[in-house]
Amino acid sequence: MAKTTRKKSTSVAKRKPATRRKRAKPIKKRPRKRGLFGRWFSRLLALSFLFSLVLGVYLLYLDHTVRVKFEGKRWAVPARVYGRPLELYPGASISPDQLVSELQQMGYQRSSYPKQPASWSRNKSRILIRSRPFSFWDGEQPGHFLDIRFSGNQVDQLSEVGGGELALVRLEAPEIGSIYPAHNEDRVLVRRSELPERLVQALIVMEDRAFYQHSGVDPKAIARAIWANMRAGGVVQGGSTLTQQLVKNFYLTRERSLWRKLNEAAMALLLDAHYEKDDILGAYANEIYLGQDGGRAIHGFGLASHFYFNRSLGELNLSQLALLVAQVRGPSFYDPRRHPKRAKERRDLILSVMHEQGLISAKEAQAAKRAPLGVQQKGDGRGSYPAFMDLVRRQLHRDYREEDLTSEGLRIFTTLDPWAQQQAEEAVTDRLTKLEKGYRLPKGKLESAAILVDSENGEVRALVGGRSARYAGFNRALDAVRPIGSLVKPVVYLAALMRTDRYNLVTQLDDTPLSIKGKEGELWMPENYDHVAHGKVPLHTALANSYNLATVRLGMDVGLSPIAQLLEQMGINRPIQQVPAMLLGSVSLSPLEVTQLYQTFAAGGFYSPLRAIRAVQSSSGEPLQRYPLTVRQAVPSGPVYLVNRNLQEVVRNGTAKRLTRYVDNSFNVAGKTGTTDKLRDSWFAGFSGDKVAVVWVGRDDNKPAGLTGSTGALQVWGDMMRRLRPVSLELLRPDSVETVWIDPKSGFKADEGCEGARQYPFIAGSAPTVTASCAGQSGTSIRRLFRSFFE
Amino acid sequence: MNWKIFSVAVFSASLLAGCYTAPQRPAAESRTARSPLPDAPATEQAPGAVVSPAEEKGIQISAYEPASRTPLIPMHSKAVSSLLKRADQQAQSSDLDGAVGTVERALRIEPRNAHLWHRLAKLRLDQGRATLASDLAVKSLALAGGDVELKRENWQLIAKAKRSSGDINGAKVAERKARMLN
Repeated sequence: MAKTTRKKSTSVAKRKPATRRKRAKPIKKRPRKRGLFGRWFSRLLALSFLFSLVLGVYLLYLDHTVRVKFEGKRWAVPARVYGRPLELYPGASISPDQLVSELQQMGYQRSSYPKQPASWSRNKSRILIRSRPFSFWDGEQPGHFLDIRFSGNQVDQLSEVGGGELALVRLEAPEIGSIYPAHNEDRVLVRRSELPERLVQALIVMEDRAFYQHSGVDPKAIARAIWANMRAGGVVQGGSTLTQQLVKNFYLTRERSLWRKLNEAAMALLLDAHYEKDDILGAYANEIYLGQDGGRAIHGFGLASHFYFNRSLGELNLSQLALLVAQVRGPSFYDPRRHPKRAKERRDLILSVMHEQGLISAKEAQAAKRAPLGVQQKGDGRGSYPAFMDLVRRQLHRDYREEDLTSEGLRIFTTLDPWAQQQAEEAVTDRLTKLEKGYRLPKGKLESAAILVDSENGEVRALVGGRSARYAGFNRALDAVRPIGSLVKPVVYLAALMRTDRYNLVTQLDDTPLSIKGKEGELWMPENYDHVAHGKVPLHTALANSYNLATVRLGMDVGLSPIAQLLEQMGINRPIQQVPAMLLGSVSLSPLEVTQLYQTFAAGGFYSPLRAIRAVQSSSGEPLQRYPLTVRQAVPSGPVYLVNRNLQEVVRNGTAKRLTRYVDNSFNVAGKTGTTDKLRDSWFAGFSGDKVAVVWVGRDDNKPAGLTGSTGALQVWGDMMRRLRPVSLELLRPDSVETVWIDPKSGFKADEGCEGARQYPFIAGSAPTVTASCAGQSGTSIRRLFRSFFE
Repeated sequence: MNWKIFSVAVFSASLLAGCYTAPQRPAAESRTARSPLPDAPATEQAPGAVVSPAEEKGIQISAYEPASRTPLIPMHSKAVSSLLKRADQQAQSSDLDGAVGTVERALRIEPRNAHLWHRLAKLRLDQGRATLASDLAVKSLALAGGDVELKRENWQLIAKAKRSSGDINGAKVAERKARMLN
């Protein structure tokens, strides 16, 4: 076809001089010798030349269009985003239910005995899995046939069926979403070789039986369609070939006109002349529109397979493949979720035709017809984590252009733990409803945000942006910038304890009323939450009970600027307004920023920027970028240790005592409550041995929520942590810290013989030197009651 | 496996309780005293006895005696050992990026394993990222506990990193600290 067009264009070129000569003729004023017929003939000839010229150029243009798009990058392939892969090893803290939920999310199917990839079976505390192979950023992972035995909520044994024990296996990374462009086309590319033969057969037999014979357009099919439409008196049948359908979707608009039809036919002929049938089929399989997910258009069989069945195309059975082919004729009309009956009819028709054409046996057709549609509910897995994806996008935008994210087919490996995310979401929804009921608050007004990160490396495990976590909207975890109230106090106390010459945990503070004059002469008179002044109190008690007066006095003595500086060192980039009210948390931060702050506490003073992404891989599997683990000592570990011990006391004896409802008393956690003016914001930030979590509860309209940190956010936090089975917090005492017996009455040095004496940690050399009168009086072996501060 | 250790502890505690005289039974006593305490009024005295015997012993020792030394041969779980082996192979075939990724993976399994942080620091130093290497070694130091050998190696690494980034004084301080641990 190309050759013919080229011929045409050369002939046109040759004749060009002739036309020019012709134009020049009238100037010479030659007498008219030719008759009427000859005149018309030459006009016709000229016209046809002109026509063929235009047509030739136009065809050339079409040819160019067809080839450029087909040979170039055909589709913008959205980036695919994966959650963290589950690591299985003996001793891993994973419950059988958790593993099952992970498998289900990845579309693994339960069977009595797993025979094909992506299937599993369970017999009480033993699970067999045939895992899929997976291409990780650090190499290929082959599929395994795993035998996992659990003991309680722990993996006990791990081995390969028919092989030996395994030390460690990484399951595939669960897909959690894609970043598709503004025109909302999403697709997963498949190669022609990856198309199941049954799918191709069904497609050809239903849509274009002469596909391998015709040359892009099938005149017989068109004639048949015209005949059928005439008989029916309307459009009931199309005569388009697959090639034409591809052209229509690929190059042309959706308008219905004769001009477009002609264009379509011409381009189909051109396409067919240039390319192999299989290439065209491959393109068709990726282009075809097969469904709609809200604003997201589902294109191609690769994505449709995930969209409808949560499995990859190669894993589908005959009836599922037939259902996909049924969608070709009209994804909204045959939508198996909304119109299951219609969809089933069409599927069964396809199966019948396949049988009639001898493609499948009667038995196969029967079995496939009996199978249920097998469509998964929407919202399983991908597309369900709008708040976390928002964070991923923002972190990616620092390094990538939007265009690259939506078109280059990047694979993005993130830190999201889908199971932890689910626990966090459930805790938020359950607790908010309970709080509204329990405290008789207006229904549906409370909102919340929750973030869960790994203590030591700052990886974000879960992020809840609101009560309806599965719907994109205002992402409170990132964007609700609210006063943090008493959550700031540990920083104030840390600043004080860093001045070892002046402060230690038993330093007596003055919890009495005070007033501070502001810059414009206004007086600020803070009060305690219970409106009571407590007089002289040890420093640790002031923090444990969140006394405002003692804190303000302490902060004013330490200075606002060192405290603001400390906030910055611990990872807060927002400018801090240095006013006395900041000591009680007038400073506004987002839950994510608060998490960063408390992660630095949890990691013993080491700051690691919170990360949602581990690595980015190109579509061809090349590693593009890693987001490595970095760490920086932000504050000396000694004072941080003292504050962390003090934060444990907050939970044991202080404002967060309510936490014992959720976690066993022998379980160590550290945390701090936060409440703001008129109970507008309820905060809780805290950490176990392995996880840091921050929860905010409040209202979007900033009206009082009616909850303190302890009655509100703490409840969500406790519920969430309980579900996650965290590790108990065992603080590591730095070398710079020593423990000394202290007489709590006097605050002086004591020994274990003293009545009521207990051990407190001190930065070496900062402990009281004055000895209490009780020390040395009694034999130390008589009353060996070991008492340790906060334990 | 924890229940094994636990049962051994309980067994030996009861054994001790049976054999020794009353004043020397603090462990058993504090265990029984433990359950009513959470419900007791939250006075400051209350939490004193809420300690398991093992922790209590640790605290007593650490208050009055030098810190206990952990065995010098690092004990890794099988999962972490297999990753370290892989990281070694990657490093040997000069795939340092790969090795870094593998050690990070191990750190996700054992985030408070000081040896892993040290291994990561070493890899970063090999990559020429001196500041990061030094920071990672400091983290390893913070988690090393009584492992003097590891602490010395960390100080040596810090010294090397500081020297390579031109901080001669810092390097000298670190070298001195390493020598002090000999």
